[in-house]
Amino acid sequence: MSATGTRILPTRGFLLILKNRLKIIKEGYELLSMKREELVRYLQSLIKEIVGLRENVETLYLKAFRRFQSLFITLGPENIETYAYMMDDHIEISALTKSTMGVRYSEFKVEKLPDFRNKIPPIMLSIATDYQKFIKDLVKLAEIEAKIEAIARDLETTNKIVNSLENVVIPNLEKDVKYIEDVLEEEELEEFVRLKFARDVELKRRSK
Amino acid sequence: MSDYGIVKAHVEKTTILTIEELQKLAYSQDIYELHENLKRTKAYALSALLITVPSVRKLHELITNKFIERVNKLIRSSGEFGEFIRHYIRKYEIENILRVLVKIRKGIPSKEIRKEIVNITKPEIDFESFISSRNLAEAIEKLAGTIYEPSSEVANSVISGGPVIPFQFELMQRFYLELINEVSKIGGFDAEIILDSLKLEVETENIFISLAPSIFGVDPDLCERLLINVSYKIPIHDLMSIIRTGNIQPILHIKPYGDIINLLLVGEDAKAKIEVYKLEYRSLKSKEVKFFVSKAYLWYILKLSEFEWRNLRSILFGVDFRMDKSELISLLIY
Repeated sequence: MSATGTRILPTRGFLLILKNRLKIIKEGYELLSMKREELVRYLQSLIKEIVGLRENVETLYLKAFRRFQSLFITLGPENIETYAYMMDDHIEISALTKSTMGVRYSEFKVEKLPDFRNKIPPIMLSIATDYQKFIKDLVKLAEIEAKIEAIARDLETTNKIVNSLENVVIPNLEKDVKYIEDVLEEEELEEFVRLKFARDVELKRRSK
Repeated sequence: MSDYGIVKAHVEKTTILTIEELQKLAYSQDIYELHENLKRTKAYALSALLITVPSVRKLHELITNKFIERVNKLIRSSGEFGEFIRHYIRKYEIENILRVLVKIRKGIPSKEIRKEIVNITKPEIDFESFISSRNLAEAIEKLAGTIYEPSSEVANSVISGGPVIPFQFELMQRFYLELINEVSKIGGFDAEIILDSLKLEVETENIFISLAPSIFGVDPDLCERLLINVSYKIPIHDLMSIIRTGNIQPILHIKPYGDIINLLLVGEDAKAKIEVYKLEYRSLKSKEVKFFVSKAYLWYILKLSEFEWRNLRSILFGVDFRMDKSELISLLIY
């Protein structure tokens, strides 16, 4: 039995199969390592992007919320509600599924923002503009967060595979190859000794 | 009758909260403390005592009921001037009409709409029937023949799903023009005082409208239609020119609008609105001695009651939102 649990036949044929397998696995390992590095790089760039964007969204939200509170207490809840009901438009967002290095994620696009310009009283326009900017950036933030989550999940899986290949599968296969090579070498040596012994016997018999 | 009204107004003045009292209320940590502080005021003590478990809704009702009570007291004791007060209060009826219309359009059940409508004085229309309208066409039809009847162009636009805002401004235009016309009938110094107040209110509303195309890209034709044809310190054609060109320079230095315009330009609409109220309040307050025993004093008390109602609402919601106290106090009218 081998270290990987498969039955080992110490034959040349099996050695060839194992060596082929090891070659393919090593190639896979190289590819996955490259994928891992690329994902880490991509993840780092997304994290950099999200830090700035999150700060921006938080600032926009705080500014919009503070102004909304002031307007709410100035105009009163009934009027704010009336003006909100005056709006009959809505936001349209489309989602497109994309894939980077086998990682699937959705990209959102704000297709249409609600047009409130000619529908609500002038006093509400500023706050509506603030919230429109906030929602637009919030959609972008949600998209990047979802992307980061998908990449991080894939990175975790890729990392596990690369580590198990690096630390378990490849060393075990190499051990198996080494074992078969040792056995075959031993057999070869034994065969050589046997042949030498047979030749000596034959030579002794002829010399008699 | 209005002499009696003036005496009653002076009595009422003693119950209106001072800025110190308002600030004390604004510093309440939560609505429970606000309720306790309201119990210590002359005007609200009794009604506040009746509330056992305070909530925003109950305190809002308490504040609004006091305003309603004051307005009706003023109307009853002011004789002919009472009619003018009743006319002024119609601006809240216009708000109610719009509220009902937009809710009918959104399909809100009449039972829900009814709960939200508070009339300060006896309304000019049958609200019960108006609220029960099954659709916008029926609601607009019920306004026909009343003082709130929309023009056929606006009515058709609203029924066919167009924006409600032209109707709101049509009603506001009619309201202010009629009101100013009525003030002119009063004549004399009293009319001057009231006109100053009203025209300031209208002109700042016009400034809000005329800046909308350049700041937010609102349709200039719509804004021209929304302008209320009343001018105080800025001729109406100057406002029209701002709508068309976006050049605000000519009005930026007209006192007292500079600060208001600057606030609007940085998006602080609420503060700009409060600034308008403050101007109105300070203007009346500075002339108080001059109209101490005239009809304008009734107007003054009406405006003080209205500002107190606005201030208390600001305090109630500001305390409930746990707003920064200095920010909250900056939004009080004094």
